[in-house]
Amino acid sequence: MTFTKNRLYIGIAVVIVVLILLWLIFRESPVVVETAKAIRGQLLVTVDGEGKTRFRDKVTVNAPVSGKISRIRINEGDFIPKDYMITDIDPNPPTTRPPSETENRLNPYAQKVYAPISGRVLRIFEKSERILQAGTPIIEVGNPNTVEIVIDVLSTEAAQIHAGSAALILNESSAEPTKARVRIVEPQAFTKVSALGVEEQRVNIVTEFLTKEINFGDNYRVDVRIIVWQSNDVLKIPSSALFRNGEKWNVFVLESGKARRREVKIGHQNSSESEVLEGLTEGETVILHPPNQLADGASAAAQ
Amino acid sequence: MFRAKILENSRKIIDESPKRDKIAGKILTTKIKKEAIFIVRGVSKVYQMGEVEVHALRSVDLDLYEGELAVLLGASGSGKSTLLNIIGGLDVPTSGEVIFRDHNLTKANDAQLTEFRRDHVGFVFQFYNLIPSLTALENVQLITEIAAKPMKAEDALEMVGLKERLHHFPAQLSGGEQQRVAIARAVAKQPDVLLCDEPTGALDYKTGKIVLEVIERVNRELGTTTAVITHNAPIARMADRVIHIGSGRIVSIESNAKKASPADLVW
Amino acid sequence: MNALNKKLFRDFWHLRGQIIATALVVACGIASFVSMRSTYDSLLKTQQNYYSAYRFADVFAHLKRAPESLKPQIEKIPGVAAVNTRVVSEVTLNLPNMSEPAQGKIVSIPPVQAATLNDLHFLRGRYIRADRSEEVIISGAFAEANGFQPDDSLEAIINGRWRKLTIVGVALSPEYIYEIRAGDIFPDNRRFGILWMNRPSVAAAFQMEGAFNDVSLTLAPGASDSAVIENLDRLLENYGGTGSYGRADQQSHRFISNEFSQLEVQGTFLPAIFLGVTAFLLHLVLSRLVSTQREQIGLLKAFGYTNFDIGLHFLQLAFAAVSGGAVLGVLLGMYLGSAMTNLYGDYFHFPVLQYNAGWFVILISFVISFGAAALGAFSAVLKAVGLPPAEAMRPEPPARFTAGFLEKAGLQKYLSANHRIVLRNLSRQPIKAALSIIGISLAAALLFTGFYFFDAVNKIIEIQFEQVIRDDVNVVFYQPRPGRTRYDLANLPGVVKVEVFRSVPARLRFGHRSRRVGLIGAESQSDLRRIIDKNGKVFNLPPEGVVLSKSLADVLEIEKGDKLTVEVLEGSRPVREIEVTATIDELMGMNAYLDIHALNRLMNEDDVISGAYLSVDSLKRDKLYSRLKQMPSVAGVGLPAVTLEGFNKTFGQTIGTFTFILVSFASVIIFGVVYNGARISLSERGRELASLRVLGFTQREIAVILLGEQAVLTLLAIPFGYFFGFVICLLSNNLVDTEILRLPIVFTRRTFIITFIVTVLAAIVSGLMVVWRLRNLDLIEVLKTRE
Repeated sequence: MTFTKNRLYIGIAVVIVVLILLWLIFRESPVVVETAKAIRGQLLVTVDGEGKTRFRDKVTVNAPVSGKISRIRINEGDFIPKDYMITDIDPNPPTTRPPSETENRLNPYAQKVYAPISGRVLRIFEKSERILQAGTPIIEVGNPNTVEIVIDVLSTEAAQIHAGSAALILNESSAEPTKARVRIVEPQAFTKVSALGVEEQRVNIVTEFLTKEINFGDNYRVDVRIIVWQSNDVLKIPSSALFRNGEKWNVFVLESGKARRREVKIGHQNSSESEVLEGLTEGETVILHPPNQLADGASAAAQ
Repeated sequence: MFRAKILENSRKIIDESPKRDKIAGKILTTKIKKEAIFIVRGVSKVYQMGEVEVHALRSVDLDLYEGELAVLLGASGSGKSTLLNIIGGLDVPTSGEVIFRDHNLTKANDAQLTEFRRDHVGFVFQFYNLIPSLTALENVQLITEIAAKPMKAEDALEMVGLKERLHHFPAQLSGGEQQRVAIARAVAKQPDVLLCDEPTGALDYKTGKIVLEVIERVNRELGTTTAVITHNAPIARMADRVIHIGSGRIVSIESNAKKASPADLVW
Repeated sequence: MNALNKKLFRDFWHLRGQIIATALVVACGIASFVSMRSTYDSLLKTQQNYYSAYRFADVFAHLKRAPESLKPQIEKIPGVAAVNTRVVSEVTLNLPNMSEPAQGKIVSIPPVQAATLNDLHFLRGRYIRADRSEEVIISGAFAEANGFQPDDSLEAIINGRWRKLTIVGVALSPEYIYEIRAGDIFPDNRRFGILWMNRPSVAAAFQMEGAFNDVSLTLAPGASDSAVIENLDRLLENYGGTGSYGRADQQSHRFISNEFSQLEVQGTFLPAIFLGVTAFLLHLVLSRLVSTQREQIGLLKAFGYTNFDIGLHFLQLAFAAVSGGAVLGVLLGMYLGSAMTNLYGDYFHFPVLQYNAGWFVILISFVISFGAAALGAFSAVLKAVGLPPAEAMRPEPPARFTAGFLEKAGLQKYLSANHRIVLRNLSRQPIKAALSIIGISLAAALLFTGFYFFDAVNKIIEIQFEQVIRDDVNVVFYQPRPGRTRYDLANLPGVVKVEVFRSVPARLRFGHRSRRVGLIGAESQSDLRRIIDKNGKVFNLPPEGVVLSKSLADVLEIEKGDKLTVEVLEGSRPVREIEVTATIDELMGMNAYLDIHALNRLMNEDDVISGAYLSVDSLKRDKLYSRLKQMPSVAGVGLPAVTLEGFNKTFGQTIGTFTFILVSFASVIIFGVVYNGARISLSERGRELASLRVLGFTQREIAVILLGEQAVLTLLAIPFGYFFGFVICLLSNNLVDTEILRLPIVFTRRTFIITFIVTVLAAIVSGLMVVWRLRNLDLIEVLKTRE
């Protein structure tokens, strides 16, 4: 009697163990994935490029007459007001005696050279006293308050940009991008060889800061983002969640521990985010950079 | 070295035997008596069996004579097997001496004892101890192949009446037949000494008699010194001498004036 | 034949089941020994012959540009035997029927065929003609993967212009036995190949007339390569030398050497396991035999057989048991060895790959088999020899049973009688039980280790191709480009995201240790290419300082916080001390990372990049490829997905075969141990079991008693198997060249379960074979025997 009962218990125990083992083997461990939620927020589509700053009010002061120019006492970076006397030129320098500094000053016939605008001295072409011809550049002055950025973009991209388009200027030193606005889209395209060695048609875009910015000098290299489309309330997901299925966009949605493939309709995109028009609701979790082995219905877990 | 002596001695006996008829027993028996092939002095044996210490032999003295048929008689546990084993060089006494002809067996090492057994001794055991994976013939050949001057294995088996059963395995032989093979095996090497430990112990009456006849015949025809252990008293009548053993000691030794033939024995 | 030998044969036949089981284990051990050693020997010999016949160089160096007139100065360096200067460059290839851009390494060869270093072995076709600048010879694996034949053509961007090249020959070179692009770990033979071209036209194409940018040289006998390397570096410093290196660091040679050392170790370690188990099995079988034949042994001794005769008799049985297995093992090993060598031939391209199982290997196989036999037979033979004949013929005293731990714990009331018998028997012979457990656990450990290997590789792939590499395409430029190139890349069709990098060759020094690596300047907060440690944790580069792979830090013996001396081997060749801000335990490579801006500052250069990682809309992929093919500034295009696909296809093929062999071998061990153990138990306790049958126990119940013992041993062995397997995995991790990659410690549930299942199944099958024998238990006969 005891034998049969024992045998029964043992038999049941064995069957249970076998079933557990089978379940353990065939149950797949969930694939670990990176996820993000579909959220509503701002999406910016931008045309990006590298731009250069320049002072709009920038003047090169040339020698009005030929003659001997006095030594220039100011330095690069100095701030000079309008009508400041930069230097003077003696059209008839005495040739017999060596010129002396004080002489020119007191020379009533020496032509005075004045700063036409106030601004920072950007460049001094030649500091020391010498003989020069009329028209030779002496100094370059620029008004830092009038700093603007020039960026060239592909002519195809320029079509989306118009005067007044918002722009963001990035600089290594400042954490927050500085706001700017497109002033002009130059009408004339020009040919340029890109950094990749390809000839392209490009258009210059000039943007200006919204506020007086004095942190940017002349001829600085900055990264520019010109906003061509913007919305403050779109449903968006990281672009790395998207993949193609034929011509359609798909994503994997993580729901109840399973990855489900879904077709989505995508609107505007930038390199990080994409606008979802159809297929997802706010708060749903999508899988970023979905691994190749992920199949519809596979179990998955967020990192 | 031993061999030369054996031949010499057997010739002696053969030469002597016709004289037996001429002279009335005594002198010759004395002559035979003086040729002690084994001298056992003060032999004791103690051994461990599991956790028990057994005193199998207590200071035994014994002489065995050339050519005699001796029966060691005693109850089970009396020490007779132990004594036989020690005489045959299968076991070493805890104390005492055993001398075979001129050689002290107790001082011999394992290799020397092995050589002694190989060259001089034939054994017959109660439970036959045949190699089960060899045929009757092969079992005998096993021994003749390492013997110096054996008879042919077939002849030994014929001598025990098993000519028809040469190629049978022990499993195919009856108890008596197996024991006869064991005897054939023991005598095939033509040993100086034949030691039989309860040869009929596992056999029925009729078969036992046949086996004893073989033993007797070998002793008579080949002159082999034979010692037979038994607990069965009637068997002792076929011996030249009967050595009574009890509790590890020799109780008494008697001689049979007239040896009975195995056919006449009843037990 | 004498009677004792007849007994030997008949005993052998009687024990044939157990002997076959043991012989199979021997066969597996010898097969693994012969196959691996002979493959190793064949490959080594082939490699050595190839290197010497085709003059494989000893030292290699790359530089920016030096005039040919420098060559005599190189030749004058003490220890240098022969010098070969070349012009070498990577180019983008446009192959027919392939939208993806491919890459070619153009290597110059003399216009007239002459014996040079790193010489070519022709498979097909002919040498180039001096007057035809468009003729090329291509490398073998590349030709095979694409089906190229002489007279086919392909296109390459050479110096900004598309050139059509005609293939006139297909060849192999000792420099590219493993045909792999620098920086890759797995070859992509469809998309990478070597193109040997006439030197004048290569020089003309890359403006290197009268100059060279690549040097290889052979050493004079007895010369030290480190001295030559130092001298050569000094000489090339002014010409943009990026640091010379010896064979050990040469890409192709390195992979092969790594493979060889693995073969060598596995070929020692695996057979050792099998032969150890063999010794154990023989010990079991022979000990039992000696016990059962106790009285026969006594008898033989009684009749004058010497100890030597008897010892030899049993030893001969052991040898006979083993020789059959050894012969089978050698044959199997030769078959497997030749198959293995052929398999290697798919990866390592030798002109002739000859498999030869040397006599020496075969001889050693027999020697070690007999050695194992002697080891196993040792104690049994000793026991047989030591039995005094009188004692031997006495019956064995009954086995001593005392109160074991079971009784002391009072647990016996929970078990039925048969279970108690099983457990008491086990505790009575603890050594035999322990050895059985070890035997089975070794088999389980073998399975565990084998499956772990798959898990480890899968994990590496997963981390590398899902966590670290998430770009679809990556590009490298010939020359460093200005930072704004990132925007031009973003404008290419299909490009969604661009992340840039800067990389420069540098020598890193700490104390007296140094290492030549590629310094990588990466973007912090990257998404496409990340720095991940072996646990999958993401690492963000700090703005200052250098971050090293732990393997590199260990080689340099440097720690976090120490100052590393960085000697850049490009551009202005600045030398700076930089603090090591962290070390990361990565899975692959020996890397040094900096923030890209920090690297630019280090190089005293503006915003400059060496290449970029791109994520691409797959719909526009072909358009992108076609644009990339036309870009003269692009030196190479990497496609991680394609590389991975190639790897999976090849690796997937080997997994199946490997698993089969692994499971078979492990099963053989388990079968051997369980079958022999059960058969011996049956022999030992046959009488006891028959008595139980007579008393009324059913067939099944005594089967439980007999097999219950084996079942308990098997189940106990499994956790030990996991443990041993774990230890073996840890130890063998050091075998793999840790500079190339490091196997992660990852044990999946699947590995544990499969090990369990295979072990248990093998044990069950073996047990059933013994039970089948049980049916034939002749009750009466067994009861009759005295023992």
